[in-house]
Amino acid sequence: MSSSIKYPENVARWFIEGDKICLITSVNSDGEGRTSSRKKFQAISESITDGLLVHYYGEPNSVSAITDSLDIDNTMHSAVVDYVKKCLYMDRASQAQDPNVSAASIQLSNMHQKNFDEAIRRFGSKKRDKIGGTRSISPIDFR
Amino acid sequence: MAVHSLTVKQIISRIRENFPGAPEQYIMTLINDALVQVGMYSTKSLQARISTVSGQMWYDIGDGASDSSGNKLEANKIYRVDLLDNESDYIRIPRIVDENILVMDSFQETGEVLSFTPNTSTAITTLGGAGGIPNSYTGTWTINQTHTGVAPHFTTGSGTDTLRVTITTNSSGHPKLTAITTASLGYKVGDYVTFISPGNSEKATWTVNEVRYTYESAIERPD
Repeated sequence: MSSSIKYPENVARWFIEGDKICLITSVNSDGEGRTSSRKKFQAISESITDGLLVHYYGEPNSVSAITDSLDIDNTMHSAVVDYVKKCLYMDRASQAQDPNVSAASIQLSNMHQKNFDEAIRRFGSKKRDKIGGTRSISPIDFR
Repeated sequence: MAVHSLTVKQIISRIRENFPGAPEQYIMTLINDALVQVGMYSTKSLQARISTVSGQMWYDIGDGASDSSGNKLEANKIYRVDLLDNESDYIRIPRIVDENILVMDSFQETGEVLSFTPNTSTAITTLGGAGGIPNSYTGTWTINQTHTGVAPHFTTGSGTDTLRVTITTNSSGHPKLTAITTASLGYKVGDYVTFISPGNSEKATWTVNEVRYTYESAIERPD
């Protein structure tokens, strides 16, 4: 069913609670504004096929075979290597009989942890963002 | 020129430079852990369409939720929502920060039909016109019959026609609705529901007496 809402930007709102998105509108099934301002926003009154277009950041696909590629930007691939090494060095530190090996493994684990954190947190947005070019302002035409 | 990227195989090769005995499956598990961590940041921008349902306020966006095409959403962070307008264009709608709206998941007046008038122990004994008149029947229903799985022929409300009932007739041909075998949604107290005799297409009309109401939300709410 198609929509009869003429100005969604004026009559519809959304918000999120936990794992649920809430859609509310201030129009009834006839597309008319609700007369009661007190109970203005309620559930949508229309069943609209594909009515909501949701833009979101999604989970990368997991890998299950050695031929798989990582479902993230290639600028982040080396960070994944750091994460894996961090975990493996931590495992080695806990298993080593020699305290020197254990201490060295912890240091290396910390180094890779730092590399991973910097890659995705400190420099993450710089690496991920695709925005470029000179900023410009489009002034209002007063004519 | 191809972009340089790493496959799982190449990552395993790199790892095994330092950890020759690291199991392949364990490394893949760690890679997936890393992807979950990286996925918490804005790495993968996606769009999905969700169909709205009249009267439904809440829509599931959990890990197991699907869009209107049945694909998994797997949403981490929603940053924009558009709603279809009457010209089939998606228009951005605002997100409200203060979500203390007054009406939250309000009551619907329709629901699953539970009982009719006359009740299951009372036959309709009034002959009434061409059908559709509450608590009356038309013509002559075949006597001493049991009709199971009878579907509604007509209703004055918006109840769905998946409703199924059992109707029996006595020795006088008076129809009696003895059981609701499949309840269905959309009925309102006071709706007239007309059924047709499978034997000779005569009609009888009952009135919805009681419904089990449903809430606007189709999502199970925590107790």
